[in-house]
Amino acid sequence: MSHVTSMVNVQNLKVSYRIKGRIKVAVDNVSLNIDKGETLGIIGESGSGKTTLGMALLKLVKIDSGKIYFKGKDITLLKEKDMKDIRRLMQLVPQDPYSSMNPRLKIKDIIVEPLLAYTKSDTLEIKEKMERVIEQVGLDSSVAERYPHELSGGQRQRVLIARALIGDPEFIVLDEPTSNLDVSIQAQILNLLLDLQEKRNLSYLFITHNILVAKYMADRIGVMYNGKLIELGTTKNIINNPLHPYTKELIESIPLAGFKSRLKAYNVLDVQEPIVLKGCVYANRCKLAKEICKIKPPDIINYNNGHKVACHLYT
Amino acid sequence: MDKLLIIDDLWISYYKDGKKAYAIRGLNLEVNYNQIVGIVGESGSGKSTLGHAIVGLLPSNSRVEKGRILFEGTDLTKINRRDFYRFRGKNAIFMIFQDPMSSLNPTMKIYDQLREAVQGKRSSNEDFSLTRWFLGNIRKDIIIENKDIIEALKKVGFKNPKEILVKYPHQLSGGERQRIMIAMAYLLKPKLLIADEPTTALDVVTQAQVLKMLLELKDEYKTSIIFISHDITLVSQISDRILVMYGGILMEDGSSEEILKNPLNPYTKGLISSLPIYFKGEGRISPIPGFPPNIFNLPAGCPFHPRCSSNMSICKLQMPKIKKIGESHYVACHLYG
Repeated sequence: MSHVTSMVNVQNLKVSYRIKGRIKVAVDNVSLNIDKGETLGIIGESGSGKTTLGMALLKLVKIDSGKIYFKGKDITLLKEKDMKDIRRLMQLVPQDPYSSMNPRLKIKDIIVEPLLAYTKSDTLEIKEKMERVIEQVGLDSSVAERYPHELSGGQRQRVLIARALIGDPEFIVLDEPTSNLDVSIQAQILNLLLDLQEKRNLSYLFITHNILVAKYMADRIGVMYNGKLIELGTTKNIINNPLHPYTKELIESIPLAGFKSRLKAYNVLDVQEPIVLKGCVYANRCKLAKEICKIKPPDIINYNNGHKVACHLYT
Repeated sequence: MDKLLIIDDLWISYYKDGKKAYAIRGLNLEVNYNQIVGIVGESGSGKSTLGHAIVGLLPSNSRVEKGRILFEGTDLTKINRRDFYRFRGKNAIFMIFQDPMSSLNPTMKIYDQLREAVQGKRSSNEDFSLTRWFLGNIRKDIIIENKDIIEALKKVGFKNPKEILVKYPHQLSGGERQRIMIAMAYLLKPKLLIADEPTTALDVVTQAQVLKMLLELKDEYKTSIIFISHDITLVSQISDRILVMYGGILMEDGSSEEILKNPLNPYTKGLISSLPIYFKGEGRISPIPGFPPNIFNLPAGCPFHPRCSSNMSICKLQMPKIKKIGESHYVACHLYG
């Protein structure tokens, strides 16, 4: 397999958690690829495994099986001490900025933490880099001397982006980076992330439950449901021509400005907790479920031109 | 026409660390019977304070400084905090919040909670003076039977209501809990429902369902709804009318269509142009620069002027008054005279 332009590639990734003696498979047999300079959006509801997937790509959770390639190199079994050089190139911007910062450190110290961990730079160089990223994320240089609690939510999110950028990474996992922010601030952060991607040719895994945000940010979108990747395709295909019944349901539920009549036509189903059956994870919610859906889980197949779907309707 | 709710020059302040700040400054608002009014604003706009003031749930460090909240002619600001529950119950003012867990008792089964919401808690000896927790039979006009409870649960989409009745809140998902709150509203048949970000913590599919259920509630009982959210698209899905708040004042008020198609206030325009509507690479949204003000440090004049691209010298000095611009379209902005 060639991974020349590939930034991150995972094959048959499986991650499970043990909760009260029971095993919960959070990411089940997921394969995907993110090219250099590309954004892959991951959408799905809470509990669908999208955050765990992001963590697994960064090797921040233990994986059960599967392979992770980073820039063509198999890092699945790499020891943490050998990961050091690679860690600098892969970064995370977590969802809740406040709980991701040490409240007793000043912003300048929070931002340079990754540099101190992964490289040996002299103090002057570190200071210059810190000032440069603060400027790049659109913060005033005075924030360097402040503490996290003195900043607003949007400013904190910018600090986390600055912290992710300081080691000159090539791949960033963005886990719901704007879901706690006001609409006007969300717009600022989204544009900032697009600008940074253009300037630095970054690859993003953009995790969100907001489909409009995914549409604005992602080149391709993967849809997750109960640990499975059920559809993967270009953003246009996913939004304009969704294949999987769950993706269709998601797209129908997007609130669109001024479309009151749409809501009246909306079909209310009883949404039960997804029960893991032998068959398709979506079968007990699916209006189109057939007999086979309850027995055999569908494989993800190439429907056309890279638009992949895991659904018995298409096999 | 008679109005259900009239808010007249309302000022609400907060005290913190010996400092005083205004969360709402001179707000006027009328809500008709059988109407859904959406309130849009960012953090610190005063939208939640407004909701809490109407149901009498303002925190103890806040105060109504001035103005009236008239609910069918009764001034709610004059009602004693301790008597408010009785007024809410009798007149059926109901509120649902972002986190339904905060409105449900974690130690009570769903059946008991739904029953209690309508009938009040019964003490064992039915003696008022012995227990402070006796809430009385709040709605004497409603006799609730088990089949009513089951019916209400069916209306909010539970296919097996009997299974739900014996569960505790923590055994339900966030969406299910929010639907329990709407079932409670079905039992109470409120005249006014205040929904404060009721879907913010839910995923899009559940969000659409909750919105649809609120619409059905309104259609069935002619309940007026005040729907508070930071998301203007969401609000436009459900509301007949949208109010935009910023820094404690009303910036714009109009029919949902007018506000979306023909926004006048630069802040409303900025909110709409902040929505990510494009496919990647096909256009850039233009966000409002800066960030919403802290209410303890509000700018003089129009609260939006530091972020406004059309700001003039008068904006720094004088707070704009709300003016009628068109048929049911009002705006507070110095650009419009």
